[in-house]
Amino acid sequence: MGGAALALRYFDRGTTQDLDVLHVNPGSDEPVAAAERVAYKRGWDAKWLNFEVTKADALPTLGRAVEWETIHDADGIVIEVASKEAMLAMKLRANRPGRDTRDIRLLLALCDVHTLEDAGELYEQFYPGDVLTPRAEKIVNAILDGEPTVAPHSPGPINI
Amino acid sequence: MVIVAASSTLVRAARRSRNLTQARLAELTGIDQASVSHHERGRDAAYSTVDRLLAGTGHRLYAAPTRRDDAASSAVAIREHLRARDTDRALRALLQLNDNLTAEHGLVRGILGLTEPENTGDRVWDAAIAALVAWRLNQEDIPLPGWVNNPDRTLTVPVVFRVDPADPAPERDDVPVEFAERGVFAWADTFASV
Repeated sequence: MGGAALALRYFDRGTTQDLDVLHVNPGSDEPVAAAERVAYKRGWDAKWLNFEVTKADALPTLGRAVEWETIHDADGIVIEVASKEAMLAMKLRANRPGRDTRDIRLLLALCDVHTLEDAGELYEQFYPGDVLTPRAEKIVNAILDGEPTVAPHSPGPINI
Repeated sequence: MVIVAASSTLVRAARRSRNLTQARLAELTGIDQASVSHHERGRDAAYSTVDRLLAGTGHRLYAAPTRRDDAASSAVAIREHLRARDTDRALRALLQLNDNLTAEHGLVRGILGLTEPENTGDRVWDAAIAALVAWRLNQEDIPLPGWVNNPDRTLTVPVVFRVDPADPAPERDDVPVEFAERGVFAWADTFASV
């Protein structure tokens, strides 16, 4: 979740091949067909767009609005990336050990969050009425108790 | 049968599965040892050469209806990331193998786990790869290839599968049986899509 966004905008990071996607215009198959043509041309799997995220309630919708930053806008292709605070909230929600830990570590540093309380407060802004799970708290505490993490550099402008 | 993406990985995996040295394979195929070595290190070779090298190991090529990488190809990527001390990218490669296995079903999923991967240089990761393949194949009652149960893919002293120092240790119930059996305490959630 969000791996491509993090790698494009926030820090150097490996990604898996699938891209989580939302169907903006359900019923229109043209973008999906276009994605399959891209896959065939590049030797990728035809099902590289993963629509599963629509079912998982991953994007925060009830609390603080997610701000989007446009990092590419040319030839009808617009790429927008969610704010680092929203990415942190989403990663705290997922808190899968190994998979999300480094992202949480680097996003805490980028968002200048240095206490468990501040992390919990940010989380509740995006997911009102929800609190961090014990596992998310454990991860945040272990990160904050360890060696300080230097805020990572952005990879810079993207070149398509 | 061996099915992996790069022909160099293919030949090396096939040769090792038969416990042949490069010298012995050269002798069997009449291809000089330097060429065998060059090819295994990634130099492109003609189809006929690849076929000859595989014939020397008692293998042949088949086409599978998938573009997804198998366990042997993933292990090559994992080994390279571990060599570069990039455990995060090594984990992404393992997660990609997980995605590949779960995307395919039945025999095609089995094919992705068929070829014994080379060692990654780290026994924990070797055991984790075997555990992941066993877990995903067991989910569809697909017979397991022999290599996933090799004793050298089970840790004698169990360890928590930590990629980041801040990763919490799982309880036994959080760990898939196939991982626990091999002494790798990894969270099932690490492999879950959200």
